[in-house]
This record gives sequence, C-alpha cells and structure tokens, in this order.
Amino acid sequence: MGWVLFALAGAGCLLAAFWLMFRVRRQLGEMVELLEEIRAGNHNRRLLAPPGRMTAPLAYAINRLVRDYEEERLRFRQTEEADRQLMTGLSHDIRTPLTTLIGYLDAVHRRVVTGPERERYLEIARQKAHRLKGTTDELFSWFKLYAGEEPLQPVRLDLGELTRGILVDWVPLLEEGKIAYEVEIPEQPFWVKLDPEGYRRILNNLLQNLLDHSGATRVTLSLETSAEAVTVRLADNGVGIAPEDLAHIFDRLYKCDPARTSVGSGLGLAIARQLAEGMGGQITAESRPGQGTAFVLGFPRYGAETFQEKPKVAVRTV
Amino acid sequence: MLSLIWCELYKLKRTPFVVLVALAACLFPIPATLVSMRGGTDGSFLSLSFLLLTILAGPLLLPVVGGCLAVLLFHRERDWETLKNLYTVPVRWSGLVAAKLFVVYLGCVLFSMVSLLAVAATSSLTGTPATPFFSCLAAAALVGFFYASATLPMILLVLWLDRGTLLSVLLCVLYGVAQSIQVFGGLYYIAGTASAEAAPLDSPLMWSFPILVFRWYTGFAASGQMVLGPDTAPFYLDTVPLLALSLLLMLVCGGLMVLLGRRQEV
Amino acid sequence: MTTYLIETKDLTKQYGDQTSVNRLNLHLRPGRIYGLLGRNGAGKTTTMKMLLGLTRPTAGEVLLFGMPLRGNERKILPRIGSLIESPGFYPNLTGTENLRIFARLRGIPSADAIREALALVGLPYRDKKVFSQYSLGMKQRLAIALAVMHDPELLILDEPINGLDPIGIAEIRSFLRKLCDEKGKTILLSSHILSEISLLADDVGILHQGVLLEEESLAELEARNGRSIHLSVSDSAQAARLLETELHTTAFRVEDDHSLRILDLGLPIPAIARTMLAGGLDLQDLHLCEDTLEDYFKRVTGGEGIA
Repeated sequence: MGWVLFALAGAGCLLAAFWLMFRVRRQLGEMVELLEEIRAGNHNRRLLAPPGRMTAPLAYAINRLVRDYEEERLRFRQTEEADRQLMTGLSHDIRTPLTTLIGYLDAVHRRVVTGPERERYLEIARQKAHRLKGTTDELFSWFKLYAGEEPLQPVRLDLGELTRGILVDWVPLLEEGKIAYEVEIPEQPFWVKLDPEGYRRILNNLLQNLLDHSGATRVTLSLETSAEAVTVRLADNGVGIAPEDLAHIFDRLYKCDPARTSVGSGLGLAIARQLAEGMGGQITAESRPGQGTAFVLGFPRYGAETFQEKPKVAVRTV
Repeated sequence: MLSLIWCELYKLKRTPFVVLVALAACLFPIPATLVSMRGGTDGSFLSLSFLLLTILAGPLLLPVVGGCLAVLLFHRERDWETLKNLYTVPVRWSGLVAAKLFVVYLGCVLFSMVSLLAVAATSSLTGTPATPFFSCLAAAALVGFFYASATLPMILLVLWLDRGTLLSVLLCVLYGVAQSIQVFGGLYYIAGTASAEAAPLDSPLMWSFPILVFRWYTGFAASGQMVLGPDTAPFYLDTVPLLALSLLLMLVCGGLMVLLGRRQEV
Repeated sequence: MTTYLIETKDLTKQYGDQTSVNRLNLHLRPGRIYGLLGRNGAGKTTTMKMLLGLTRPTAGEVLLFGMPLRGNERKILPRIGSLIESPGFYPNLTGTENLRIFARLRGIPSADAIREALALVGLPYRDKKVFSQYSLGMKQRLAIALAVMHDPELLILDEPINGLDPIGIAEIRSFLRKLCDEKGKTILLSSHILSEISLLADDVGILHQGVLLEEESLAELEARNGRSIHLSVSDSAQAARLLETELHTTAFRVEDDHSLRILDLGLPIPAIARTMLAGGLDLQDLHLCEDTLEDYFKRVTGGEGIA
C-alpha cells in the first residue's frame, strides 16, 4: 500500500513539474510573439501578467522598457517637429533675401536701370549679399553650438578689461545710431573663466539686437560682483518687450515681430544663451513695454564651481 | 483555471456565511456525538462517524451547505452585474461554472471532514479511541464529494428558475429535508428486515442516493478498501460505482448549467 | 488605405420584432476619440455590447484590430478596456480587492498597475470601504480604473461621465484627452450630452433609433453647421462665380447644384439678393441660419430635445 502511495505521489510531482514547464514555455512564447508585434511598430501593446506568475517580473520589465522607449520617441518626435519648424523658418530667411538680391541683379543685367541708378542697385545687392552671408554664418554657428561641435576654451581673464575692449569697437556704431551710452565698470578686476571669443559674440549679439530692434536712445552697461558671481547688465530705454514674449525671446525662432519682416534670423539671442550656458553662466531679460529692456548676464567668479541662482543679485527694473 | 478558483475563494472574503458554516461544522457534531454515545450505538468511533455522516450531517446539512454556497456564488454575479466585466477579460461562462462548482465541492468536502474531526475529538476526549482514523477521514471526504454531486441537480434547478436568493435557499433546505426523508425511509425499511445485509434490494428505497452512500460507508470506512472482497454481501457497495455516479452527475448537470448560462443576457 | 481599429459591417441586432441596431457601419480610426452621440435608447449601449462580444449580433460582422471578433476573443479582448452601463463589482470587497481579482484574471502590465490606476482616478489605494458603501461617483471612478488598469490600446466607454461631479467630469475629460494625445490610444465613448462630445471627440457618429445617421469629424460637422447664410438658387456654379467676382468673397461652400452656404456673415443679405438676381439667377431662398451644433443634432434626430 505504501508503495502505491509513494509511486502515485512521485508521478504526481513529475506531472506537476511538466505542467509548470509547459505553462512557462507557453507564456514565454506569447511574450516573444508580442515583442515581435511591438517591433513591427505597434508600441502600445503591453505584456499582461498576473502578479503571482513566475514570468511576471520579466513581463513588467519589458513593459517598462517599451514605455520608456515610447516616451523617448515622443520626445524625439517633438524635437523633430520643432526642428522642422526651424528649417521652414530658416528657408524663408535665406530664400527671401536671396530672391530680392537676384531681383536687383537681374534688373541690372537686363539693363532696366542705367547710370547712377545701376550703381546704387549694385551697391544694394552687395550689401544684401553680405547680410545673407552673415545670416548663413550665424545659422551654421548656431547649429554647431547646438550639436556641441564648437568647443569653447575658457581662460582666466578680467571681465572688466574684456568688456571695455569690446565696447571700444561699438562706440562708433552707437554714435552713428545716435544712442547715448553709459559705461559703469569699476576699476577692480573681475576674475572669471570664459572663452573671450564667446563672450564677445554674446555682447555683440545683444548690442546688435539693441541697435536693430529696441529703438533706444540711451544704453547703460554695468558690471558688478557678488561673492560668487559677476553680473553684466545691459539696459536700454527702448520699446521694451511685451511680458508674453519675454519668456520666449531666447527660443530659437522667436521673433516679437510676427510678420518677420525685420532682418536677422531670430537666432542671435538663442546663440547668446547657448554660449552663456556653455560657459557655465546664464542670461536673463527684464523688460517693461515702453520703458526699456535689460539683459542680465551672470558668470561664476573664478574659483566658484557652479553658478547658483542668485537672489542676492539686485534686480532693478529699468 | 487555478486563477478562477482563487478568484472565487477571494470573492468569499468578508462573507458571514462562510464563518457560520465553519462554526457549524465544528460545533454541531459535538452534541450529536455525545447524545448518540449515550444510547443506540456501540460507541465505537466507526459507528459514531457512520451515524453522523450518513444519517445526520450528510443528507440534511451537506445539500444545504453546498446549495447555499452555490446560490451565493452564482447570484453574486447576477446581482452585481459583474459578468460583463468578466466576459471582457475574457473569461468564459464554462470556466466560471467549473470554478464555482469546485468551490462547492471543496466546501462540502471540508465541511464533512471538519465534522469528522469534531467527532474524533469528542470521542477521544470521552475515552473512545478514534480508529480507524485515516480511512474514516477519507470516507468523510468522499461523503462530501458524493453529496456535493447529489446537490448538483438542485443547483441546476435554482439556476434555471432564476428567482431571488430567499427562494433559492428555501429550495436548498427542502432538498436537504428530502434527502433526510429518503435516509430515514430506507432505515425504517432495513429495520423491518432481519439484518441489514439481508435486506432485499428490489425496493426503490434501497437505491436512493443517501441510501447508496449508507450502503457504501461501512464497507469503505471499516476496511479502507475501494473495492470490497468477492464474498461480501450485495448490500455493500464498492466505491467505484458511486464515483462513477458522481462523475456522471457532474458532467450532466455541469453541462446543462453551462448551456443555461449561455442564454442569459449580460 | 486607413486601417480602422473598429469596423462594423451592417451590424444588426433585433429583439423579437424590434430592431435595436440597424445595419450599422461604424469606422474608428486609430489614435482618435470617437464620440457616439444619440438619445437614450438609440442603441449606443447595444452597439458597444456587440463590439465587445457581450451580445451576439443578429446579422453583420464586427472587426477589431483588423480581425473578426468571433473566434479571436482571447487575442483581442485583453487589448481593450471597457466600461458598459453601471459599474459591476463585488460588494463585499474594497476597490483595490476588486481590481486585484481582475489583475489576477487578465494580468497587469506592471507591478504597481493597480496603485497607478487608482491614483489616476483619484481613489485611495488602502481603503477599508467596501464597494457597497461607495458613492455613485466613486463607483464610476472604479469602473474607469478597471478599464485603464491594463493599459489597453482601445477604450470603449459607455457614458463615462455618468454620475461624476463637474470637477470629476473635467478631470476625466483631460485624462482621456491626454491618453489619446500623448499615449496614442484610441477611445470610443458614447453620450447623450452633446456638449461633452463636442469638448472631447475628434470624430462624431450620430446614432438615432439604431441607425447611424452621420459619421464625420467634429471639425467638419462644426464647419458645416455653424452660423451661415443659406442660399438656394437655380444654378450653384453661377452663384459661386458671382460671389467671387461681384461680392469678392471666397468664404462659402457649395452644398449641391442648388444650394450654397455663405460663411462670410459680413455680406449684407440685400446685396447678395441683388447680385444673384442681376446675374440672371432665380432666387429661391436666402436666409441667415444660426444653427448651432445642437440645433443640427435636434434636427437630424427629429426630436424635441436631448433626452
């Protein structure tokens, strides 16, 4: 009798083992099938498993993976969309001036104009060509910055000295634009670690922006320092920027003028931000419509490791 | 399938019925055993268990327990509109029927085994040794199994009528009483003859289900053998015919229940 | 060639001699929200039951994910989450326990699926309240949690906002919209409240007495039924030309050979009349139509109001 029981128990165990193995094999087969479907493109499929099943943790891990992948793709699609818009915008920015340029040159070629008029057309065409080159250069440089291909080489320097040097070149342009300027750079050294060329480009972009868009009559540039940061403040008394635009001015394509009739590709400020952040700093803007705008650049003092949010920096409205 | 059974058991959480039944299984045999030890039987564990299971608990209580459990399980789906959610899993009605009937069988088997354990406890506490224990336990389990099968036609009727819970429970109780009446009728008949073994088998009372169990029990419980020797009286039954009968009931009633469920509107 | 997520072919359901759903041809495009609009008793719930296989259709076929439903339930149904009629759960179990049953039967996509689903609808995870003690709003939320717990690709929801308070309605609305926009899920929902459908749906199907009267994108319906000037003339083509050359407008739609709808409401009606007559056309009807989408619905369903 005992034998029989023993044998029965043994057989029972064996059967149970086989059955379990068979079940797991079937579940794994279903998983593989589902993964093939996901690979074929349907990323919304999920592997379902009751919590107690042996293969459940595997199923859950795969689902997590697919979900993360799906989120990644969503982000990628969004970036792709943004890039597509950028390309469309930029193609306009290049096509329009190029077309006008061609218009002028064609007119000259067909002898529509002669004499001094002809000379004038040629001069306009030449200027347009230069401006187009400038736009293209800016575009390339932005792309390189974006792709991280243009390495900045920070060196230890005195920001005050550097700023003064850059401003010297701008003085004639400011005077030509009938803009009064005020420079408040204390004599003390402001030690920072920056790429001088990068800083120069930021300032150039800001000042060009000011010249082109602000309609200001007066501009002030001041430098100040705190324990951890050096702040550069460029303020004007121009038309200002509307509050709803203020948040977006550093975005790649944003131009406050929706008709996009003004020159420039809208990249100047975006490049400035990219450069500033690439050097460990930050750039912000404050503005009151009708009263003026102030751009505030901040860089960590040489010796301070990272740049932290500064409630101590005095934010004075213009 | 296992998940379905797990779910059916989980659905019984916080149901007072289950607790009551468990209590009844433990408590009711105790006074019954004590009373019967006072007079009537030879006081052996075998006789006590026999008396309890085949005459008292079996025919009367097991159908009620099994029937009420089935009513509880089936009506819960109907009353709370859960079938539409189950069908979209997808779960089939046949799977649900199988799982619920499994729980009914489990309930009956456990009930009768617990009753036997109560009897064993009582008898050993009052001095009578509880032997043969394991074969009686196995017998109790089988009694539960057989009576669960016997209750199936009842459950089928309840499902077919599709009335309220009260009526269904009443029907179960009536069925239990009917089974008891059959047992007592059979007993009277046997008492009228010289000895149990010599009772003529041509009367239909000898072939009613509870009596079949009655005829089977002593043979199995005493010897623990599924198939009895060739020289036992024809009165005693082997286990195999009863198992076959139970299986038949299971298949037929189960099949009909599945068919019945197909026509219901979700 | 669009593959439809749900497609029905002449789907019909008859109860005795009453036809509840009559030759329905539904088309659901993936990644959109489809609102099935109809008055009470129009056959919305019956249709949804047939889509899920809860009711056997009298005639016609249901195709889900490109496959017929009959015979493929095991493959198809786990990819669908549904809510039909009133919430059906076990009264003696809490919300979490109820969901646990279905997690055990159907499987869940992650270990925290139950917790996440309950958090999404705003129900507590560790709660002592059993289902029989739930308010109507809580019951409905639990039903929605069950529908989304297994992260299905397709949701079939029968009046999902039924029983919810206004905040709950807004929450569910934004939740459904997010599911569609961000996760790319497809949703079929039914309602008899036009405003809800117009806030949520991309495509609309109007069901009336078992017949699908219209199946159109919401944008198209709104464009068609906004405020406009209706013009009935003898020759639409000439009228169109006159509108462009004499009245200098292109803001109009030609409905058929005799009628146009002018969308530019700034045009003075007398001027239109004069132009048409001067152009030699017979003018049959010219009136300003201020139909809202609701008026259109009332008109199409021939009813006195939304029931």
